[in-house]
Amino acid sequence: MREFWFYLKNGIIGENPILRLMIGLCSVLAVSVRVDNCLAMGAGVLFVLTCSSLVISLLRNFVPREVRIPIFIVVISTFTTIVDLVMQAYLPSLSRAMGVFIPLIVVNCIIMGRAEAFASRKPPLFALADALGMGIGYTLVITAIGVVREIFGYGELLSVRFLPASFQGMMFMILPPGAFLLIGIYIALLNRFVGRVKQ
Amino acid sequence: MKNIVRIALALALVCLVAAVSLSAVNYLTKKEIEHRKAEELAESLKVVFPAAERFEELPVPPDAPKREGTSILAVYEALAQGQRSGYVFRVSTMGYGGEMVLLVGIGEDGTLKGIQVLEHQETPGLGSNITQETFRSQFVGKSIDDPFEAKKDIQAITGATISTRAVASACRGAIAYFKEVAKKP
Amino acid sequence: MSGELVMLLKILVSAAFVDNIILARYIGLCPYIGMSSSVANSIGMGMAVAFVMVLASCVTWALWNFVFLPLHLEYLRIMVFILVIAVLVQLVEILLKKNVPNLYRAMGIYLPLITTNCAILAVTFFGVDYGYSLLQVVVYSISVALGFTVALVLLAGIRERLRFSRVPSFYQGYPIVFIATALLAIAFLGFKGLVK
Repeated sequence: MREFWFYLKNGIIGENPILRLMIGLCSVLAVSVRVDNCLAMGAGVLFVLTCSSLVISLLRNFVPREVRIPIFIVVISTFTTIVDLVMQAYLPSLSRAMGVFIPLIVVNCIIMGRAEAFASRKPPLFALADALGMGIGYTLVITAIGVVREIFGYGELLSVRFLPASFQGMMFMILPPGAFLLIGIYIALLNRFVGRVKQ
Repeated sequence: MKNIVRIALALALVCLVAAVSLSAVNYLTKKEIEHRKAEELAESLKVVFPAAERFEELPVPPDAPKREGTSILAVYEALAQGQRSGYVFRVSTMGYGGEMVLLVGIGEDGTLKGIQVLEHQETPGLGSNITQETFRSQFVGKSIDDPFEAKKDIQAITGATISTRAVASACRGAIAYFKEVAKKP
Repeated sequence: MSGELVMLLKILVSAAFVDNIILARYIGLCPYIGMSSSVANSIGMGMAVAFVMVLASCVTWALWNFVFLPLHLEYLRIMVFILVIAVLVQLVEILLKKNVPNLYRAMGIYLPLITTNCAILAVTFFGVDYGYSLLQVVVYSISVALGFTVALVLLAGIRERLRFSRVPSFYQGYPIVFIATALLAIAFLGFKGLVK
């Protein structure tokens, strides 16, 4: 049982997928312009990650080694498609705002990477813990970036005007360079406070 | 041999389950998705032509030539009390950062009822302000005989002249189509 | 110049530079960060990605227009497109292993990771969503791969130099790489407005 919590915490800090493992980056930077997008993306990734890891872990003794990658792909893309369809039906404006990045959840390195490195080798309970940890870690980081980008880029938070109207907004934060800069700083901060990762 | 059978069977089984569950989800969400798309369209058409009660799509000739660098994507007839009161044109043109898709509503009386920017790739904070109400409202009530030129009868957005010009040419393009369509019975 | 040729040129310039898939659209970052430590690796990665990208785009384009649309199977596209890519990557892996074993070994884990290279899947989606013809799809995918490789090689060049610079301790490793990328992204912003 202690192991469960270890894997959970690990996904959030020690092996945070974005700031440590350097996986799942594309979606983070592209989607993090507004905080509500971040939360939706985090939820989507968490859902696909958890369901896929669970299913893959349950199937781990029945899947022949040679076809494991295609089978992972089928499982992950099924859950991704479900998220895509459900969002188009019930959250259309969010779906449009996030655009191609919802179907791109299927190639989110986090999900595929954890399926291969973890879920396919561990029992369901631990796979679940790892998935939850990674998903939460991902959501925390993407939201942390989104908060800065939305406040400095638009002067708003969750589309509510936060800073005085005279604040025009730093375009730099909305455009790609700002995102890259922010992630570099966050990684450096994590290194400073939580110890360095071996290069 | 037995190994290959195992592999094929595992793959087939997983794919089957996946396909079945996806078809189920697709079936369940299809109606809702179509509903949303229709709703969105109706809403945006209404923004552009508030006086209309309903809209009917008209066929567009497949290789209609561009007018003023603007392609026509769709034409909707705006109807009020059973009578045609104008048209809404869905047009696309090249902006500063990429393709721009707009809705332009033109009344039978030859005035613009409104414009809406559906898609654009303009610079956030500059060209993206073409979606603002303050920019779009200047188009309402303009006559189809107006020049529609940035910095002349169209107030340009500071630092986004090209984006403004693109919107203006999209309007000119829609007006050109209007002049052709309005001639038809 | 004919209209068709001008259109193709526009696709090339915008896909490779104005809308650079990495520096402007954030797609394809994992291999970008992982493979850019040396210029040689970057070129190799770029070529492998180019090969898979063009092939995948053509195959998925054909599938989409001749199978998916007529049969209303749009909702299966995520799964089928990525499976097509996975198969193609397997082929590339086999080819490389046999013919260019050095590159194969250098790429290590990144080769199978091309499958999850968001860029390839994204390009297959864009190829059909933009309504391109087959020729346009080919030009588009080659241009995107070109832009990808250029961005990769540029960063690799910077990283090779960085090895001999004094970087503040907490910024060593990935942080400084991202900051360098930010600067590259600013430079590429200069391309905006190039294509009317």
